Amino acid sequence: MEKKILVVEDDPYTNELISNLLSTRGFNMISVTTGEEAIEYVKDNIPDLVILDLLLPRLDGWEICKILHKSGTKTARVPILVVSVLSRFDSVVFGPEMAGVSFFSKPFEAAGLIAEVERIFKKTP
Amino acid sequence: MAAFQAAYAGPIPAARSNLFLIRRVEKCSNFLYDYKMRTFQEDLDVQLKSRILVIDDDPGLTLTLSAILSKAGYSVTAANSGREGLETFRKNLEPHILQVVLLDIRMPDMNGVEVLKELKKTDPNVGAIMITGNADVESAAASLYEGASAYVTKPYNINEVKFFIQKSLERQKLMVHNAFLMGRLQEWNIELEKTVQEKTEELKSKNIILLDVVEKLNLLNELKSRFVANASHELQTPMTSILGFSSLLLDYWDNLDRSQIIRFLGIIRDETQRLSRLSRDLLDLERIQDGKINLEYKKVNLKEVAGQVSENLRVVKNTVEVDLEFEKGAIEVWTDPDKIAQVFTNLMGNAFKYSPDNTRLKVAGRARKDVVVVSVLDQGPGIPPDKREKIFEPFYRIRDDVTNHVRGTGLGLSIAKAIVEAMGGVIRVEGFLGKGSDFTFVLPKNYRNPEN
Repeated sequence: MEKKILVVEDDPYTNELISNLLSTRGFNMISVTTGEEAIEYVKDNIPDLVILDLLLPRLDGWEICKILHKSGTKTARVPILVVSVLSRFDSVVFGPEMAGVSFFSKPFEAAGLIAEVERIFKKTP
Repeated sequence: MAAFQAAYAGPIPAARSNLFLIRRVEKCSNFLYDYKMRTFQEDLDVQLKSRILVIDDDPGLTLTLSAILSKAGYSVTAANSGREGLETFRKNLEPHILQVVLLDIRMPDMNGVEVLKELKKTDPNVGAIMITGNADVESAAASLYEGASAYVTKPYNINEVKFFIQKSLERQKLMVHNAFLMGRLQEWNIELEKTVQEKTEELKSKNIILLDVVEKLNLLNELKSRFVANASHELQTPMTSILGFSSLLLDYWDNLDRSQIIRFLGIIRDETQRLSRLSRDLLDLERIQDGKINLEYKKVNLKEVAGQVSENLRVVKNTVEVDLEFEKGAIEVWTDPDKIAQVFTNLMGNAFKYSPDNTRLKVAGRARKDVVVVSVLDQGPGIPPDKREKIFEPFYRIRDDVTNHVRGTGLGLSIAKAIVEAMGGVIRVEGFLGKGSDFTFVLPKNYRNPEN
């Protein structure tokens, strides 16, 4: 069964890029542009991976991480891949709520993101 | 005695005598306030006068003593009873007069020791020399405990008396000098404390100013850091699309269909243009804010500029109509034509972006004294009152679903503000949330006009 990937990214072109890129590898892509839409989606669906931008309007990436990974919820064990222009070495960026979250820097090459996603699925089949 | 107490009513005796000593010193030291310390003693001595008071119930004896001491150069007063003596003493009580009392012990109304006690109450530093017959030697010796300076027994040796007077005066002088020195010391201490306090206050206020400056610099530094961080993020976003889509095309060309290829190439072109616009805007903003651009002022027709900008914008979006309403006195202004065109482009560009289709946009110019007031009014979503200052900050965007598909550089309003301010004007935004925005700028009509 093909893997479901939820993309949460407010920049329309970047969102389109990620969706198209991973579609070519046969993943089932669901894309939303706000955190609210993402939370709404996971109420009835459990994706196999969430690709998450950090700088989002209102409900930002950090908050979404906290909500998705809250223990006891259905999404607590869903891997999250943060894709951001921010630096992963910035302590503010990589706070405690990001424990167990993978990080990928923007900008990126197509093959690089695909390799990263496949690496995550190999680790958590 | 009663009259005396009435006159000096108030302070308790000990405090009163201290006050008296201080007054005595003050009166003397006033004259030498500005003298150097090494000369003070002589000056003080010049001011000090001495007076001898002889109290004895034997008028013959007082007369003799007075005569002898007067001849020796002293100023002498005599009294023939204890009470009279006390009264005279108090009458002569003056800060610059040192008194030595020659006091007979055996007197009918008040004996010498009682008189001595009263004298001491009035002036604790008074010099008292007791005169006594052989029979009274014991009480004379006891009077030393009451504060007498010395005693002589009858028949006395006048040289001995003179000697004791001299000693007593010297002692009193020393007391005065001492008090004077103490006073000066206290004054200096107070002065020193005052100076220290003044300097401390001065330092404190300077410190406050410095802290304020540091705080402002920190704030500026923080703003700059935030600006650089924001600029970097804003540059990375189009770069993500360019790098991502170009590598997608290169690596997966065979998996893509024709419409996808065209779409992705189009995005790469748009994002490259955006990147170019962004870097140009960044440089512009920096240079305008730092006053590094030369504004070339000339006579400019604002209505024509607004009309031209409107035509350019309608090429991209022709579903919005523009009304130009300029008052007669608001058409011609002395300003930089290119830069004012940029202000119109940025403000009207925003208005176009946020205007729903089939609405009208109004650009109005009004003349007010020496200024023109130009308003750009749209029928878009409007700006919440709490965001109206912030929207002029670089990269500030109202995070709203409506603006999500509107892609600007985030610098248009900052640049418009910087230009208007460089031209001596001001800009602000008003309007009603849900009913449209009103961007208004005020420009002086003749800023930097050499003819005015």
